[in-house]
Amino acid sequence: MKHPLHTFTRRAFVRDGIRLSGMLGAASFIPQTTWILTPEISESTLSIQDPSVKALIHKAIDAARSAGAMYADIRLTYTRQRVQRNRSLGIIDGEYLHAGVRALVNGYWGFAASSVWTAEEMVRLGQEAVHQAKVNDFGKIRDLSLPPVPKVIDGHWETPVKIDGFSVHPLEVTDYLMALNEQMRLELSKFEKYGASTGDYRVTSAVHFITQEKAFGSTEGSYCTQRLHRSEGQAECSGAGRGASVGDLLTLVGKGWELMTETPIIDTVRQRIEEGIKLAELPVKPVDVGRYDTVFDSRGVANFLSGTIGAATEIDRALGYEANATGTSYLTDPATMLDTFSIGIPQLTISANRSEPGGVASTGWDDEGVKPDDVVLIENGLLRDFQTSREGAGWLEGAYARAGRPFKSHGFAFAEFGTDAPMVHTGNLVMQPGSESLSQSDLEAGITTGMSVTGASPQVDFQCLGGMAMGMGCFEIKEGKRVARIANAGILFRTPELWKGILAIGGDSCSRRYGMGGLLTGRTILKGEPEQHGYHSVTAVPMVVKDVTFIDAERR
Amino acid sequence: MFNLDDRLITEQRAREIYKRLQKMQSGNGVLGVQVRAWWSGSLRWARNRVSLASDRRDMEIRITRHNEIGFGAILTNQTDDESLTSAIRAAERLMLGGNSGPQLTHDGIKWIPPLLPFPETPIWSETTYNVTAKQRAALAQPLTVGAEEQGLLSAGFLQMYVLEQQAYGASVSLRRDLAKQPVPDSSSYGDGANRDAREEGYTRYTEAQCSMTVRHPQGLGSGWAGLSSYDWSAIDAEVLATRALDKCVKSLNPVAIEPGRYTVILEPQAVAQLVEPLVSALQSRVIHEDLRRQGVFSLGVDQAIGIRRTKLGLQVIDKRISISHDPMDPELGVLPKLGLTPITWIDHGTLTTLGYDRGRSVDDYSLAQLNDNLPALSRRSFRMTGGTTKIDEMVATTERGLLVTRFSNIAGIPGGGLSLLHTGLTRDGLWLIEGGVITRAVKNMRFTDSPLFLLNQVDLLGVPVPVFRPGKYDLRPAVVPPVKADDFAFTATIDAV
Repeated sequence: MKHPLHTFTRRAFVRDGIRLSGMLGAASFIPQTTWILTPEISESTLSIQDPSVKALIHKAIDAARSAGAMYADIRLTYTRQRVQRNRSLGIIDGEYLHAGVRALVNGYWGFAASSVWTAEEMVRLGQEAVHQAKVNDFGKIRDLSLPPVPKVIDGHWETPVKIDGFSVHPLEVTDYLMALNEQMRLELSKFEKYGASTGDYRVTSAVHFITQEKAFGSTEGSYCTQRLHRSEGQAECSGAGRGASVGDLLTLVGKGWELMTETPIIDTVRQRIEEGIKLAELPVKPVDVGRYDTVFDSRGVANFLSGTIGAATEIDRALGYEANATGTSYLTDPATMLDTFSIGIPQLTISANRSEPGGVASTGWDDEGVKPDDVVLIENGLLRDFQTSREGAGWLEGAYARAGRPFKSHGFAFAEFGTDAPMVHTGNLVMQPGSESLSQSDLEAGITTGMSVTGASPQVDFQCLGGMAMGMGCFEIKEGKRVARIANAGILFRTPELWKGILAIGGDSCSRRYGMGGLLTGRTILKGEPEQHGYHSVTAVPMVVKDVTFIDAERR
Repeated sequence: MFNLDDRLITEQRAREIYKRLQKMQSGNGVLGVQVRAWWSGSLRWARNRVSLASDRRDMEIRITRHNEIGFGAILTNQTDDESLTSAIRAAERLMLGGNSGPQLTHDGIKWIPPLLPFPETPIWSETTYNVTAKQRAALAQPLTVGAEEQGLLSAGFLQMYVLEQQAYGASVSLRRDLAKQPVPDSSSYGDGANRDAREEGYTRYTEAQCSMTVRHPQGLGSGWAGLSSYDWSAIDAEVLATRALDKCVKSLNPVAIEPGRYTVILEPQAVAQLVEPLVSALQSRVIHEDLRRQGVFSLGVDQAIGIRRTKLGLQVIDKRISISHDPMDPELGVLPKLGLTPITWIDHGTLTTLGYDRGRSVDDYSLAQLNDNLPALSRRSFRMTGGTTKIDEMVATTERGLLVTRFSNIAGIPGGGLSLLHTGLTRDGLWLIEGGVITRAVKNMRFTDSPLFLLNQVDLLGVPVPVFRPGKYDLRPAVVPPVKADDFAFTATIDAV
């Protein structure tokens, strides 16, 4: 038998597919550049909207249906990613094709995936997925209820980007990063009088582009295609104890090259070096173990939100489907807790969406062909809903019926590549700002004795119930002013007390968005077995929490 | 020899990809190709029912081109002529653009330690490779029965995994000949007699893993068991199921105890998780010798050679313990033909080796030249010697202490690097021992401690056993004993179950 990987010719397929469908030279066949554009190399690859892609999808769907699938869906993905750091053009530079078919037989799911986009392989994957499902049906009933989904007919959606990262010549990107480094070096040199000397400067900048074309089809007749873009960047400088990072402004985002060109990187660097020098004048103190009213900046709050409420409201985690992997949720009984369980103070409202412009998780349809809802997870402190897929919504069918709510998936199924089976992943989280226009410094000004922690980064436990956090910076506050830097501060927290102990929430003007799961500046978000990556945005405001426990992180 | 089917690309086909790329290259400089392909047959279950069964496969081809002025690397998972041509041209454009790759310095190509000849270890199990989807399903069926009968919820994962990889050309051993020499033209590196010398042997390995968690429906208790091995027949899934269930039942209704220093009996899984950061710290000698920073095993600066002295030759942990790695050890099985020699990192408590991570940083190699006996590695597999005490006997000798199943969320404490200070949580089974018997289940706790401290406070050691150490692109099995040690620091009680 010939190896399918070996017989596959993607570009040959493109030609054949075009010829077969009589689409040669048709408008939907968009020539694109892969790799670097040079006069002699301008390669054409398939547009995801080409009818031949749809033909492949139908092959798989038909094969699965004929083999006995009660439901089946397929994802074809064409992924490109590139990382450039400083002068290096392509630390990671690659393109991948994947295909994955998922089939349902008597409540059991089967999945088959590979890197081959041919008609024969689609048939094999369709049949294999059904086989994988069937062999697990030993007659034990596995209840499963999939809510109806409006059929999508030939839908197409693209992440709105101003400049596709892959349309910018890599040498131009290099020039930009090197210029950025030069400017950061210059900014540092302005502080020579503080002791830095030119030779000591360390500067680095980087950018990461990911573009994914994706086609989805199901036995229910939905078909849609998408072109999804994500970008992230990095810019840091340090020298003789001075430094600045603007990584927090360049976290993963659903944007293109404009992420780098529209962010005021150098102005921020300058401002932060100055701030850093001022803060360095504060005395350093060890942690006085105890409880303090504490201001967390928007970045810290975003991290807390992602790790606690974001993960805890993934319906599959709450029901134990991830118990053997990353863990479960402290929301142990979703159906009963809905609308009654108190998560936080009455002023706490948190929603999830996959629609906001620039949101990392934003998409036209999720990986089950569902147009995602904007869903309120926490309203006035009460648990109102979970992040669901179709099967996940099925687990809440009774609870939704009792509450008189529609039975539907919120559209949070996600599969990074065609080789991943879709599962619930956190969407873009948004924390509603406080009603008063309080800034971070207003919040600090309101503290008589307490702490302020910047960039808190929590390690959340396997039930999203608490954890330990360390901050980028930790300051003692007296009479509303930062009076000392605190070394080795560790923050122990319990999730319920964190969100119920909020004393004040920052206003609209200090609301900031951060991307989670990025390669350069974020922390990897893993879920499932085998592991899959997740990505989302979190929009948060600073907050003050009462009686936060501080320990010396280095003390045994 | 092997039962080949279309799940494998095979050595011949991998080489063919390289040969086609050789013909496709243009211009001067050298070519390197790495081919990697994997297959996975897996099954997940949750709430006592199979939730997903999968058959997945993928590959990755890494094409590198470099010459005197630049370096280019491109990844693809497509093998047709047009995709490969497109990729190699892209790598050449990066090269000609004067790109300085992550592995090269501006002044050219550095010397890299030679690969040592090494006999092939077959980390290949026909059993693992041949378990069918139907067999996996049949294997999984009985695993949830016990939990279901007792009204508990079992969730788990089992996977058969196969990885093939081979590297050709400059990405392997060509660079070792190029110490500060101009890069030769690719034409001089044809298909000649020296070809084999430039290949990293085709390797493939199997990996089987099975792990499961049994939980109380309201989250009042949780138990875990798991094991990985290249050979599925070394894993008794039903024994794991019984153990996870037993641990769940015994972990119900835990009581909170005061944080503080406790005598601990760590099951092998917990020991492996805690010792892993220590094994990692042994990998890179350059960190410990660096003038600008200090590593765990750093001493003062040796002015004569301008690097830090290290703790090599000094006792760093309990004298009963050795930590070693032998690629011929079937329980540790590591990729054959990677030029690995047996290493004893720590011999009866004395630090005897610090490693160099081949291919990690150019700086490593400038220092590496000082040392003839190069471990040339990046390996997380290890065997830790033990003793003969059974866990029961450890419990019987404990007046007051804690029995730990495993840890979770282990993370280094920033600034704690010099003592390898880590924090983490106990998970899936923690019990109080009083007067030589296990008296009750205890709520999980956070620890803040270091593997170095632990291994300097050892009381008793048990028989080393393989533990759960799944890996995707690298096998990293470990054979580790249970340990009874004193004064392990728990810093907080946590509510998570």
